Amino acid sequence: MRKISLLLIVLVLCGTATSCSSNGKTDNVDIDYGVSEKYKEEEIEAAARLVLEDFKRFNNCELIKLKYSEEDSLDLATQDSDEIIVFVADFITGESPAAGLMSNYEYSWKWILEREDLKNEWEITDYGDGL
Amino acid sequence: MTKKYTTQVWTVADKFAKFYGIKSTTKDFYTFSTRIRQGSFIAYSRYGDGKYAHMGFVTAKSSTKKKTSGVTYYDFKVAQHTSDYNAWVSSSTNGWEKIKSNYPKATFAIVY
Repeated sequence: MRKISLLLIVLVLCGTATSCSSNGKTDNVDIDYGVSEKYKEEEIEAAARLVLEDFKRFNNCELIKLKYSEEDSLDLATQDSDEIIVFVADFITGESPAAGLMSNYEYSWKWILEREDLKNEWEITDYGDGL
Repeated sequence: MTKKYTTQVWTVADKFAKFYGIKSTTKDFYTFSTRIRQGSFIAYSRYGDGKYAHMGFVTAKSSTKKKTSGVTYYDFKVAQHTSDYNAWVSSSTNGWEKIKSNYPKATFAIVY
């Protein structure tokens, strides 16, 4: 009887922990790859996949929209390196979201990815509320 | 190329602002530009609800007025992440003067 009680307690605790915190959701995201004169569609898609993967770190958040921004990508490319790609990501937070974000709030952030050249893979170099 | 993930402080703007306290708030960008000084931490609340989603640091202030994107203000220079810039509001890199057109209910704040 005591073992069964302990087992039940453990199961309840595990269930509570699972329901309290979940990886960032990207299942229902609306992705707009846009039209680019600089990058091929598959290049933008490859970069978008990295953002979707990265978003999983954002516990209790849901990515609603991910949009490639050619304008931002070209603007940044003139400053630092040439191979830069920028996405605008709209997401909402639930209760106790990751990284000190506010609960139940709408965010519109940018994700910035760079690569050395065409032979290299994209890498996320910055993200946040971009102005 | 080196990874330059933003530091935690930039992603917890609301907590930062509330920990140090808000010195002043205004809905008007011109008024905001008259109040800030070099060294000010600045933030904005997108929906005017007192929740601060973003923050920057003023590295310079000009005594001359500028008008860009239809907005008049005293120019100032902001250091912030995304996209890791230190740029004047009047430059195309900086978008602080466009906040009000994107979010009409936005309020601007100076953090102590």
